[in-house]
Amino acid sequence: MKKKAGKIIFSLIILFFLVIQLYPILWLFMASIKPTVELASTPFSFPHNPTLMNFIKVFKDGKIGLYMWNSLKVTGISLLLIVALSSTAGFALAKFNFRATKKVYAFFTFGIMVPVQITLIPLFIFYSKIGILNTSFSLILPQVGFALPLSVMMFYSFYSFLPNELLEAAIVDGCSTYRIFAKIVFPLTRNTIITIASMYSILIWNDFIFANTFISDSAAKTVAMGLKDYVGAFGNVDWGSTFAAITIAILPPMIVYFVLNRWVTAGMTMGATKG
Amino acid sequence: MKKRLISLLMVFTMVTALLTGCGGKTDNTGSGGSDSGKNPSKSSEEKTVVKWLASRPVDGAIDLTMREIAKQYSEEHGGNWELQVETTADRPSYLQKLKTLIAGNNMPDIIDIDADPYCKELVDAGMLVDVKSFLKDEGKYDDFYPIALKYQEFTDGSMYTLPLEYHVEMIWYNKEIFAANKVEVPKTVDEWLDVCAKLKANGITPISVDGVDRWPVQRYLAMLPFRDTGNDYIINLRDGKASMGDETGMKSIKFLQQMGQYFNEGFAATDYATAQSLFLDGKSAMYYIGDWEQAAMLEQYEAGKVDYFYLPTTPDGKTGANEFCVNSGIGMAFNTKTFDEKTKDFILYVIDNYGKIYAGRQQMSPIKTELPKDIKFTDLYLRIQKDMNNTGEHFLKPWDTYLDSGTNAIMQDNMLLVASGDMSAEDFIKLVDDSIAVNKQ
Amino acid sequence: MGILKDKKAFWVFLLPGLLFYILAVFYPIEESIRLSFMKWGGIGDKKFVGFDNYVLMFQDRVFYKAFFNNLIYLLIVVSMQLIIGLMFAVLLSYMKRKVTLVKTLYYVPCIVTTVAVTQLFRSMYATEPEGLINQILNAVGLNGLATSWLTNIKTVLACVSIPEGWRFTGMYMVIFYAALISLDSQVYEAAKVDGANEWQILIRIKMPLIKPILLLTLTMCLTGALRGFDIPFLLTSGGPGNVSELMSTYMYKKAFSSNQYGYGSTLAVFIIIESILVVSLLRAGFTSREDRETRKMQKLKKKGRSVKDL
Repeated sequence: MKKKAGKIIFSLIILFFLVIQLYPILWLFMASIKPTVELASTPFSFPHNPTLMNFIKVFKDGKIGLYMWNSLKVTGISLLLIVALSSTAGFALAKFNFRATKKVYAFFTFGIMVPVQITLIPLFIFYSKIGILNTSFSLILPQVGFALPLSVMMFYSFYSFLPNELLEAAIVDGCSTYRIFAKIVFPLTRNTIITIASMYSILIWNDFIFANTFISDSAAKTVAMGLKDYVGAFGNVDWGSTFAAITIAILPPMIVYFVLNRWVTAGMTMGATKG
Repeated sequence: MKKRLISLLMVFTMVTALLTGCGGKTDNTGSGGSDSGKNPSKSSEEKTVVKWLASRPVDGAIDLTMREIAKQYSEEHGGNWELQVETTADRPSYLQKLKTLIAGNNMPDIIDIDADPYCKELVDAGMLVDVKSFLKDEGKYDDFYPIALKYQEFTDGSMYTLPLEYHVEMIWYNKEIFAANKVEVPKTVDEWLDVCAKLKANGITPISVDGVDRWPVQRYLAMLPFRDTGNDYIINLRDGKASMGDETGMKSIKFLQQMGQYFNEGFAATDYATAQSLFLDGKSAMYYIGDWEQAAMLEQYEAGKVDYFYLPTTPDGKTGANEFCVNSGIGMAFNTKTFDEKTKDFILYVIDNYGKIYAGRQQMSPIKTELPKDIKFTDLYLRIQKDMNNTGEHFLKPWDTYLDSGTNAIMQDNMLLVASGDMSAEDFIKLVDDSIAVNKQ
Repeated sequence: MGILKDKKAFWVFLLPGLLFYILAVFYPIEESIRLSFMKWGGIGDKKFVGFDNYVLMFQDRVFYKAFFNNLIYLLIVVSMQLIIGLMFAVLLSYMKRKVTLVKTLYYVPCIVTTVAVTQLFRSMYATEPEGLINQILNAVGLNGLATSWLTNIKTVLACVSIPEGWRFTGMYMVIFYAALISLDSQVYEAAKVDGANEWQILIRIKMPLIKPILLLTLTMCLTGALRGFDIPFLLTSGGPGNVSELMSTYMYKKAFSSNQYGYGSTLAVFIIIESILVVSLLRAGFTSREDRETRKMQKLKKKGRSVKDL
């Protein structure tokens, strides 16, 4: 009897928290099908006069596809680079026997504390000198750079967990260092990769501040910048259309997340515990 | 082992190739554009690209008008001409971008900027074209409404920005609420306060205000000083000759404190869309906004539910009933380095064509123009246009265009506290005066 | 410490990442430090002013306000993310069915852009039209508590902290959950046999075992919160007044609204130093306890040996 009551309370708590976590999605969707005045005056009720006008407007502008493609490009290439660079750098720092490794590692971890806003002007000046403003690369460089400290840290922890005996055995067998990494070590990092990818894909996809600073060509705009297309004169925002655009824009990450869900959580499991 | 290294290298080259691919893409669109100008005789000539970093609503009337004119112009010049517009309507994001571009020594050919102290710095650094002498030299100065140009002037009378819009600001009110509570449209500021008090006593929110964007609240601070002195007070305040705490300043603060009680609750966190919807939804009796929202007001205006009145007067004020906030918005400024004959030619073309096309979109044009006959204008539009033609010589110029950005930020942040009664007048005075003193150095 | 000794390979592995990092992160830091000794409005030449900006900072009333606000913000965000995250991870680890689904759904808030999160919370906190929070308070008869949360100077700081905390709670929960269920069950099964109850197992056995994860997430949380910017900036941009000002919003406003790039950089340098201090203190705290424990163990061992020797 007591056990059963406990179980019910337990489920209720889980459910309650679930509602809190899921509510924003529901709200976002409801907001995107409300007319402007209704959205502002009764933001929490169910839509009285549901309308698809907001979505129609977003699609009619026809730019959201381009924006999403740009975001996808930036996110995809950044993730590839983050994984490539941090898996190798982490390996160098964790598995090589040099005095410098500790210091270099400390140098890397130093970066997790830097507020990104300070980089805007120096990077901008640097970009304009070498002429890569308005390219995807101008976004990829800081995204990767700022992801490296944490991802190097995670790879480093994972590699530290790998027994040295494994490498020794491979060396005895005559494997080169590169081969050890490619054939033995890297395949084991799958879970760390998934953890890093699932964290950073979302952060990079949603980034606004770098994009706003380094991109000033509508052909290269990202989704987060595109949301500002619905800002009107003197600060008036067409929230209905903005939310419709957001609803469309979060679909890809949502789908990816739900499809990969099993791996993501499994990856997090491993990535975290070995972290 | 070498294989691995090679494949790693390959990955990197691939990635680099991808990156350069992205980089090249912008170039491609550029050249693709020039191909479309199928004029063999001129295609050997280099294409002129003018970049305009704008802060106008995407697909808004100005954006569309300018694109249309640029397209026409380009066609008339064999397609070897292109205006690249990059617009960010969200002002804080825009300003951050503009300032970064300029700090990075990368100012676009045309920018949008208010005639504020930052703009003055650009002028002092010789980076902006003197628009006043340009207009006078080309004989275009009188094509504009005088107030539209005057708004763009610095205090010393020089002018470096070209207006593309023209606005009046008024107080919209809900006629039904006014009738139900037996209040009349106020003529004087005292009457206005009485109306608010009466409405509030009857449980109605007198005024809905967008505090998130700050500027609407700052207008209330500017109202009484404008009535008493025109723009003299704010100019003296900026120059350190007046204090926020002297008679006019105190009046201004007191007025904001009084009015603050009549704002909707939590106005400091109410955004534009919400404040406007509260009014349109009949949940507040009054709402201060400019003619640019006439499209949003139109339906209820025509149904006889809402109407507007202008800033009420004060007895023995310096400014009268036909003098209130008129502005010509953020202006267009030109980079001295790239302002050549070609750009000049284009700007003259804009001045000649802008008024008609822009007015045709039911907008108030800063350039004098005949209204196009084939378009039906609403009564509301025509009425406001008439009002604008009858304004007096003084007009309230928003304070944020006078104050240096540091002081402006301090004033805007803290006036919200003053209006909600969370900060004393003394503290506010000290903050503003100190900041002006520091920035004067 | 690793065992590989191929110097060339070491650099091949390390250099690409290191270069990227230096270019994207370290070079701007170096520039900021340089700029923090200058006076520069973004136009024209920079003027060297020595420590003037630092002197100015320590006399700046708003700086202190932002600093203490940041501490409160930090406390709220970190405790929400860690305590609630951990609590639900523990609850979830006792759940038997549908765990994957629940876990996935908990993760959802991270995906939504800050623009939407901000607007949602702005509506929830509002009084006119009545926000969800006030509606609930009124419905349960706590009318006295209803307020305009974002403009009330007593509540606004907490209110800008909560969305940030809430947003990533799910992510930390997933990480904790992962750590908890991957523990070797033999260890605590044994304790169970010895008569330990669930609570004791949790506190005495499970928590110490996931300590490395706690350290990692605490570091992530703390540095994330110290850099926290989007939501507070979009919700109130530090207002009303400077009541909800944080170091990062203040720095941004100084640099980009007031064009005081030198002073803005000084604030940025302070944020970096502050973060380094917090994280190294944290690490020192964790490791010194570990050290003490190992030393104790060694002592015990030694004692044991000396006893044997006797």
